[in-house]
Amino acid sequence: MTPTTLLVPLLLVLPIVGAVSLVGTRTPARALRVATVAASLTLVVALALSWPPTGRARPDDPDALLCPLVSLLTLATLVAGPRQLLDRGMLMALLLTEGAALGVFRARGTLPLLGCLVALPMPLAGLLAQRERSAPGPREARVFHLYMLVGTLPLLAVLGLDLPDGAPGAAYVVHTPRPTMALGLGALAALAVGVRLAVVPFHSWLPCVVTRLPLGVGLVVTHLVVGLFLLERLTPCLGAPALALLGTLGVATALHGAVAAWAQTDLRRMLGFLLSSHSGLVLAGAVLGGAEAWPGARLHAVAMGLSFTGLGLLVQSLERRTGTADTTRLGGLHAPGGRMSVLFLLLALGALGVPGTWGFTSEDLLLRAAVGVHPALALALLLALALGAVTLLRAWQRAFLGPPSPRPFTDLLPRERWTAVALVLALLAGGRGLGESVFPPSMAPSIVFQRAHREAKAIRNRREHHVPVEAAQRPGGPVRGDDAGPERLQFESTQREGGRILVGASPPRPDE
Amino acid sequence: MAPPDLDPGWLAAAVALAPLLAFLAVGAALLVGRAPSERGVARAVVGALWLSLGCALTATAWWALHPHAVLATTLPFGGPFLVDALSAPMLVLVSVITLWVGRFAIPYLHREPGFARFFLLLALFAAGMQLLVGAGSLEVLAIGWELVGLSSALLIGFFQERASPVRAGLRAFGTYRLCDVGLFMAVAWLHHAAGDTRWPEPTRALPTTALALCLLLAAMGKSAQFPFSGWLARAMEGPTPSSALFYGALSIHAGPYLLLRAAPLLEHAPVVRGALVLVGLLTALQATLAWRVQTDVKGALAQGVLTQVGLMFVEVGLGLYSLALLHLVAHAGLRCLQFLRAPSALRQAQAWRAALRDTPPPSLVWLHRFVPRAWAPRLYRLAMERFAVDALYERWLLHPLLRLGRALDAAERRWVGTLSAAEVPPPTPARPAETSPSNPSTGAV
Repeated sequence: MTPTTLLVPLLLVLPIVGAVSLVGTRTPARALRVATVAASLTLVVALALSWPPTGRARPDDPDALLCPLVSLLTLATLVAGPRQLLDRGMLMALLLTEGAALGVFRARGTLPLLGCLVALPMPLAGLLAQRERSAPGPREARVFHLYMLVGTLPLLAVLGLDLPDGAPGAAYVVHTPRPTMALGLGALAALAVGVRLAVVPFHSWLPCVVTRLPLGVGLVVTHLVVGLFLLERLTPCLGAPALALLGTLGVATALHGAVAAWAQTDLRRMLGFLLSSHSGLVLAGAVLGGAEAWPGARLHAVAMGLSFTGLGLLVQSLERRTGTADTTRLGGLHAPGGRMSVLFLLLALGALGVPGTWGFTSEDLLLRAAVGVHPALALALLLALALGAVTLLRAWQRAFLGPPSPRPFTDLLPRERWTAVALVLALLAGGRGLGESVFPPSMAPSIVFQRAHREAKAIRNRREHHVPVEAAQRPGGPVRGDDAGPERLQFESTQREGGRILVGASPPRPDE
Repeated sequence: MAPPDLDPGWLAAAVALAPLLAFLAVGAALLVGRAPSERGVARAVVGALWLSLGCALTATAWWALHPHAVLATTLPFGGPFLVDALSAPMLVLVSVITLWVGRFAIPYLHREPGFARFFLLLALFAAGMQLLVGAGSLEVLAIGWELVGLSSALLIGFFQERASPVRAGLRAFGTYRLCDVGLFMAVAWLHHAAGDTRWPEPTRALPTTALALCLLLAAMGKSAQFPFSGWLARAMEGPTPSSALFYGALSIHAGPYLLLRAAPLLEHAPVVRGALVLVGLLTALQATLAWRVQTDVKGALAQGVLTQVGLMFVEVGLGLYSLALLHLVAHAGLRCLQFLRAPSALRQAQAWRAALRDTPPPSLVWLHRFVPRAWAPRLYRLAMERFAVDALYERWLLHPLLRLGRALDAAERRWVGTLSAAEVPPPTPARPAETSPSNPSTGAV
């Protein structure tokens, strides 16, 4: 029995046990301690599982990035969130969402995957309903319920088809020889992914939830990350029309989110629309860029998660101190709240992809993939990114700079400060640069990966269309496909087995 | 005892890494610990700048002794760094001027609340500029380019307690970001077309015109060329040392440097070279007219800088690369000195007046006398408004974008209200526009 086989169940059980233990706690402080311990242990186990024995993380391994990310975001929310808001319901929602997300990432069969996907939105929905009852206001819970219903039913239909013969340990999704049915299933899968990733026109739940539950930005990010994971798993069963549709919607989402965020004065709503914009960027880059864009998409999900969760926590802290998150009523807080201002700026810089952070590397990878499809696509995504960057910097300036505010203001508490510092350091840890690095997957391996993929694609096209090598050769360029070895082609051929599409383009794990 | 062998590649890399390490050290101290003293901050940053200068001189000397070689090394984060005929003089120039301004700023900003912040950003700028100058690939240049832009925008808003510098910093950042779309497009496109982002060779089959256009857009933004020149006049809100460093000496010349570096690409893009000449001439004409009506010394210097940088664009467009490089180096040194002397300009003028007594001062401004009398008032208004570029920018870009964003937001709220069967509160009214003396047009355009 390897350590992995012991740690994986522990990883899945720890948050659930933590959530169940909260039922017996007597005071809020004790409940918070229990939840923090459970989340800390989960993070340790996730890191231990992600640390590869070779010392090098594989770019094609989503679990290595996403499990620690979700665990870290949950722990950060628990440690830095305002104590008044971290009641038992909120703590349980955080831990249960974490458990469901980790279950999705680690599920090796259709039934567990389906169960975790259905369970994922339930804690957040319950929390929203509870808030709706306790405080009058718009009914965000109803909006969230509607969207998640729309996103889950197609998923049940798509994944349910595989239940009768779902082989354990594999994730077979679609088995149909009929093209019309495949098209229909592809559309359903695209709908499910679109709702989870808050793609226009299925995005309305995201700004609603972030506005209503600013502490829940980590929860929302978890949903988006799971949406990305689901997209990766479903991509092989989505036909070319569905992929093109999703990619177009991704571009539209990126632009829509950036323009809508530009017009906001409420920091929470602005964060919601910006999250939606980045989600669109990830979707467009990943879907249209093909397999070579996936490392960039995963990295961007990590960058987005770290920076926006940190920003959400700081906005929540700011709101608790000033009573508002409206930038028209803020300003001049830099002197009394210097550390909050600096950390807000650093997290904003991480979100806008300044060199040295994860965001810079991931945006670069996504844009390269987008240019490969069409330069106009990359141009649209770049414009959305530029507008989002200016929006974030303007938000910082309006909230913290300007004539000094006369109102009393307390700077960050140590636990809030150190959590934000940890998130900033995590953002910086991945941005070491362009060359070969141990962790995270740098651009250099992905460049090799991209070249190999392009060349293998060129060979396949030539075979399908009987194009001679000389005709496909660019004048003066190297002979294409020379180094696309037999292993590469063999790997691609293993993705299709007898009319069934195997979900997941990554090679099998060494421990399986 | 024989002296230890020093790897010239490491020395070259240290030119950029020394200020970067100083930035990280001072930044970490400011973030997690107590604020260090002025002396400590200044010593750390100026010491790193001295080290950077020493390494730049040594690397340049190595290159001068091997004139036909290119000193190439790999930075710790993986990008190539070059010392060649173009970058060697620029590395030394950047090191000397940054150190010079750093030394100047120590007494100038003494007891200023943002003293440590200034030096922190100075170190970041120095690292970014050295990366930009020594970049062996477009990707490394983009990293330096971004760091320079960020430090520039933050230093324009150095006086954070006033609204106007903060707004000016945001305007500069917005223009940078808009034009950096061209640079990142070029990075992605070059990588897609050539497989890497090393400086393209003329023999490669590349979309040269498209790439050169992307780089031209980036250069226009960073060097404030027409029609992206509006931010430069506002950028004078920053402290004088940063104005001297960014808009007199170095940052403003990043555009011509990028174009000089991309000269092999431009050779194969005649359309873009024509566009370069046109943009440069338009900027020079606009700036020289605006310069004649400026009433403050820093504003006048800014317009003078624009005139000369516009001429550099023309030189690059005409293929006069050596002349452009010489022009760049000489102009950077002269303007830096003029900006640093700007606070004492009044005293200097009084001294001149006292020395000249009744003798009329020599007038260097004579070109406008040839303007027809009927055109003069309108031209004067246009020059006062710097050809209303800012007003047009707001009217045709910012306001429509804001209207579109509000329309999307209103539609969103209506849709959510329909779904939740409840009335969603309307958005807070927008902040009333603050009056800005340089923004609204007087109706000249």
